Amino acid sequence: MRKKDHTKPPRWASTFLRNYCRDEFREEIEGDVYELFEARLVNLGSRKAGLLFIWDVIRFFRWSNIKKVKFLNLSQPMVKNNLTVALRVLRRQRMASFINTLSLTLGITAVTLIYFFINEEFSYDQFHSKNEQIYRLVKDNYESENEIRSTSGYHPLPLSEKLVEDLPEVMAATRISHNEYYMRLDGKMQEESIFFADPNLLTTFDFPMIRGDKSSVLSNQGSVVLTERAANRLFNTIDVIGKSIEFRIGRGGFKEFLVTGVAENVPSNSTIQFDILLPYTDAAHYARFKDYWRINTDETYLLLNPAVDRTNFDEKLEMQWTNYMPHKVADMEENGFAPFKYRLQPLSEVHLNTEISGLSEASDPMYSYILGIIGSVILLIGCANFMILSIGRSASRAKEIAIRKVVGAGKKQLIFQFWSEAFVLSIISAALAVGLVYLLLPTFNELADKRIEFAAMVNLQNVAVLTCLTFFAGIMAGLYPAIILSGLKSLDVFRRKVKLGGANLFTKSLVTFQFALSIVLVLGTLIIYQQVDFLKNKDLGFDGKDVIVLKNRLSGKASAQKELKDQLAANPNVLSFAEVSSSFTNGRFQSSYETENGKEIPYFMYRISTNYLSLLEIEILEGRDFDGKLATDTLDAVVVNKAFIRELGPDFKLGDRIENFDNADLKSPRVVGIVEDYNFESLDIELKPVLLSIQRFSGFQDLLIKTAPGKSGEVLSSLESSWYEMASSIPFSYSFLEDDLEAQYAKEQRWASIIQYAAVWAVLLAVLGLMGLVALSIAGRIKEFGVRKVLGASTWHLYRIIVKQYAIWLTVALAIALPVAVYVMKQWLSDFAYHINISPLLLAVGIAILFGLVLLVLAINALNAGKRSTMEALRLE
Amino acid sequence: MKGTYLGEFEELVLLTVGALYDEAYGVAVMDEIKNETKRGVNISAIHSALRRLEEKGFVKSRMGGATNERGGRRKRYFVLTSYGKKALDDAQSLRMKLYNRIPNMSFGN
Repeated sequence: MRKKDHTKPPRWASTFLRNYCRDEFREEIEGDVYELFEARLVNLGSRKAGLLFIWDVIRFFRWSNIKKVKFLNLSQPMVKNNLTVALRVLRRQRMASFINTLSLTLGITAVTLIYFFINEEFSYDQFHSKNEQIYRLVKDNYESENEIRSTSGYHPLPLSEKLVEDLPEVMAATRISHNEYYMRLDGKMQEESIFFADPNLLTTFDFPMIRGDKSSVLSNQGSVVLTERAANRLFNTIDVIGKSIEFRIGRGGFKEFLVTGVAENVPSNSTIQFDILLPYTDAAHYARFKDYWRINTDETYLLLNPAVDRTNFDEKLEMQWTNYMPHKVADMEENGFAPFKYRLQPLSEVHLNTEISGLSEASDPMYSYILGIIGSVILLIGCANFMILSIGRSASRAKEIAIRKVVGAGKKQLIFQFWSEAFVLSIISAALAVGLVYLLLPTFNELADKRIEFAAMVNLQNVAVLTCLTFFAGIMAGLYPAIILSGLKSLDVFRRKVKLGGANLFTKSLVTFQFALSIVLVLGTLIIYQQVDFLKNKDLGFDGKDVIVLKNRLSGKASAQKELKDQLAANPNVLSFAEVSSSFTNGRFQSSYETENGKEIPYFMYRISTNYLSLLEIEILEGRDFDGKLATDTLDAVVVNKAFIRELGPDFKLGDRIENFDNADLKSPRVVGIVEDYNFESLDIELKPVLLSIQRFSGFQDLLIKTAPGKSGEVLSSLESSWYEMASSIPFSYSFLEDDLEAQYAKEQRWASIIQYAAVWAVLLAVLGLMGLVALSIAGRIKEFGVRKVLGASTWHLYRIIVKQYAIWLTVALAIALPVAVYVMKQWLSDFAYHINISPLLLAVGIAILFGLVLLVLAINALNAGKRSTMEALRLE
Repeated sequence: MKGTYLGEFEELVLLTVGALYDEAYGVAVMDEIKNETKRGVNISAIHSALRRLEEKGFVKSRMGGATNERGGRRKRYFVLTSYGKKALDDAQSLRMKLYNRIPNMSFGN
């Protein structure tokens, strides 16, 4: 190492100064700083002098002193000539230009669509002007002192009022809830999704009104606010103030509501989605639970004073519940730790947090990241194609470059020339991509379950993003050719010393990279498909075959109900039927039960009629099925699943009562039967405890009808006609249980399709690139092939030569891709409580498909090479 | 009227150049200002000011001869032009004019 010379200023600083400083000022500036340094060296010592020297150098680094870089000596004719040549090259080499344009177009299209998706995902709820002050109140349920079991967004009804009263920092609290209820308008009934909220929903959040004043429209019970969309749908106009609509909320009959306001349509990137908005006090459960602290139902949003000191407030909020829930305080004292604590979740985080159970379905940001990666990868593959082809073609252009150099073109001008070719291409591709995005957007929306409109996406930000993207693609695509080709030595070119073309390491590694990515995506697709298939076909512990789920909308009409059941009983094609509070996927009743020793067991509860278990062929492990004739069974007997028993602990036996259980008219019920764990929920969730009861119940939502195999059509048609005789105004709607179950995996199915599209996209691009590359490399070896043919080589022989050239690289691609694919997919699968194991056979199939495709491409090229006239090949030159 | 305005710092530098007469180059000007005003100034600021003054025509410059100091680098010497002298005179007279108008008893403590 060179010894540091302390009598000299720091080297890097002086080098830096020399490099940035304009020549005309350099001498005087250098002179002055050196003089100062020398003086300081004597007075202050070397260390300080050095530091001050650096400081001076930095201070001199100002615009007027900096060299103006003459990057390019661009004249207008030169730019024009570059563009002409670029277009000429594009036109002359049709095949290559086609592949290049297609690659970049597909790349830019994919990235644009994915950008739309991600942009929407991450812009959720940002449009509220008080966005920073709004929080969702959530509670962490504790397993032990430090261990959080679950987090939920549901709270008792009186809580919000208490918080506003007791905590001055809370400016407003908004409770929200939603449910499906019947609406009657002009004598016609239909089911609608109804949203309930405290009146301050409209003042806290930004949901602008078109008609009506936002501070008063929800103040009175019996008022209803419609969105523009809903008003148009129901009344064909938005001048609907004062019109009346009837809703049947809860158990009572229809009640009249008057329209008091019309709001703008809720943006698609809002967590809170409503079309028909009613005051919270009109919610079905409001009257019963408004002062009840033992039930957690709806979500609560808090508007905080902007000046609040969060640390203090959070601390205060955590245990605020101790003031309201003495029964929980007793638990806490007994257990020695707090059963739960409150916490604030910023509004902008609500959409992307899947950990917290709440009203609206959150979305996993992981999907955004995965899509983002896939999009960039596709764009990179597209750019790689351009590079491969440019380098491949370079041999034929070497002369052009050499001539340009001889005539006096500098390296920079050549770089600029290649880049301008890439830019011309990327601009053309971007234009095509915009068209393609427009065409593909509806399909993409369907795949991604979004409502993105093309027109809404044309804005300054997106145009800027597209421009950047185009530039990026141009720069990436032109990078390597520009630098390598411009560095050619003219003399070597004329002496034919340059050997460029398909054979260089860089292009080969690009091809390898492309294929590695394709392999990962293809294997990913196959594994996702197999998992979805597994989910759909797994033995769920019950038999849903030939089961019709009929929406039981006759509740309240006892005679019609009875008639319907009589008809079902009389129908020979109906094997059995049963009522249930809600069929598998049509909603659920979720609650939690607290054992005597304070353990909280979350469970699901279904009200059923007696033959439910036998209809679904759910296996009874211990005890018995319900018996409708036993009075005690209809009073307080329950059947639970194995999971419930596990939670209750080893001491609990069949016939015991579940002590302290008190929910929905069931008090300490007796367990008469234990059933096998059947998957009543989607398979990505671990089985939860279930409790079944045959208590008298008027709210059965669904009627399950098991028909003889293949007879469901007949049953339905006879049912439908008699239904309309009994209740002409109530729609007859049904589904098949098997379809409902399948619909649970819509999300996975969607992802399977998205990944599949991406895989096809990537494979297509990679194959395109390979095709171009092979064609070029064959073109470069035309003479060799000609000689071989003269000496008796067959097309098959030529094919083998070509395959050999690429086999190694494909193997390398496989070696890289396989572990990556397996690792990533294992991660994905581990999210499912029930999942497949990755089978080697499946992997082999995927790889075989891809390799088959490659061999096919090579074969086509070899055939072409073989067909070429030998004479012509040899005459070349 | 571009170039006729004289900023406070520029005026100070211009005065110093005038005072140093034939010895005014970057470091000398800086040292002088430091000595006279006890004001810490960075050398780069002096350079900028000098360059601006030259553009405005208040000073002109020439390169000195090579010496053994500063690694053999030459100095750029600045001298006041007559135009620069006039600018200083104008500034001075304006100041005096206003100064003389201050009534003797108007100090508000």
